[in-house]
Amino acid sequence: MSVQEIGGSGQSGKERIQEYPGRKARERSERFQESLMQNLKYQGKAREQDDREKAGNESQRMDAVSMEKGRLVTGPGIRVNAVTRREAVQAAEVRHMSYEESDNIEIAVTEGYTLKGKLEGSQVYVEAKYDDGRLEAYQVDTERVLAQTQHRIERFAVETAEGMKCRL
Amino acid sequence: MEQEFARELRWNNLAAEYQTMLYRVAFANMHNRADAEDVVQEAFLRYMKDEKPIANKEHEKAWLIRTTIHICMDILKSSWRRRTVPLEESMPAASREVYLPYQIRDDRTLEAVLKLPVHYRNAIYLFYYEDYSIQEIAGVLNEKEGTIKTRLRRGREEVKKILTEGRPENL
Repeated sequence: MSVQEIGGSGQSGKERIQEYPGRKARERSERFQESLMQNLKYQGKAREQDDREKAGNESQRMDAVSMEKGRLVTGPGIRVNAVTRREAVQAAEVRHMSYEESDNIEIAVTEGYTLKGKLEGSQVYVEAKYDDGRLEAYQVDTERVLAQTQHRIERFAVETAEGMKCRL
Repeated sequence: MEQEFARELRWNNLAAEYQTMLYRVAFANMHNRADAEDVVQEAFLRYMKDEKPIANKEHEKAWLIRTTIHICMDILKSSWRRRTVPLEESMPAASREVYLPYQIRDDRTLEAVLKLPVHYRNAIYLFYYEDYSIQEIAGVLNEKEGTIKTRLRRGREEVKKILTEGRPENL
């Protein structure tokens, strides 16, 4: 077998060689695209489901919070603005207020916390210190707090505001 | 002469600034006014005699509280103390009030705190009634922060027991 012959037969072989990987690659890319589409569809569905679940959990949580705070519970036909519901108590920066500076103090040794409150206009600044070392501060808008609230911080803020008004 | 005057002025300021707070800490441990006053006086005397350079105000305050607690412990441990009963013991609970600069809603809880074993009592008293942080208490009592947290948690349980059962477990 001469070199020429190999070259001749090699041409058809080359074509075959070129054709073969091309077909393979096309098949592979088709399979890949198919699986990709399937994956994307599945992921999309999964994400939608996740979002639905998250929304459900969030609404459940908000309902629980509103139940705890003695507020209107959302039902299927009731629309309540979640932002308005949450506005009464807002997290604030801790100022390390002393007892002397506070207008109202609650020392709950058996429950492991202390609360300090200071009236500032219609808002009450509340600082909570827990026996695990946590220190938290809140700004409470007493005008937004409902009368029947069971929320500890809200109740304390209302007490502080009322106490100060009585003193004045 | 001027130096002496300056020193006297500094001591007067120091006494004015800390005496009521130290009195409360001493009272929480001694449970009677006369002993608490003696302890505070002794703490100031030691501070004056010590003359060590104190880095800052917080250090100074911590030093005074620590010394006050140590003096209380020394007196409480003394054999004379254990053999005698203070006159105020027979007086009503109102006389045992720690004169706090603010109003507290529940005197019973404070009474219960004062009945706690000493290591719980000081941690709880400083944390709740003097508004000290865990870090500060750890500095004052020369303990780790974790120890203070544990004492606060266990002390709280003891207070609950005293309030429900009417007597401390380890006293």
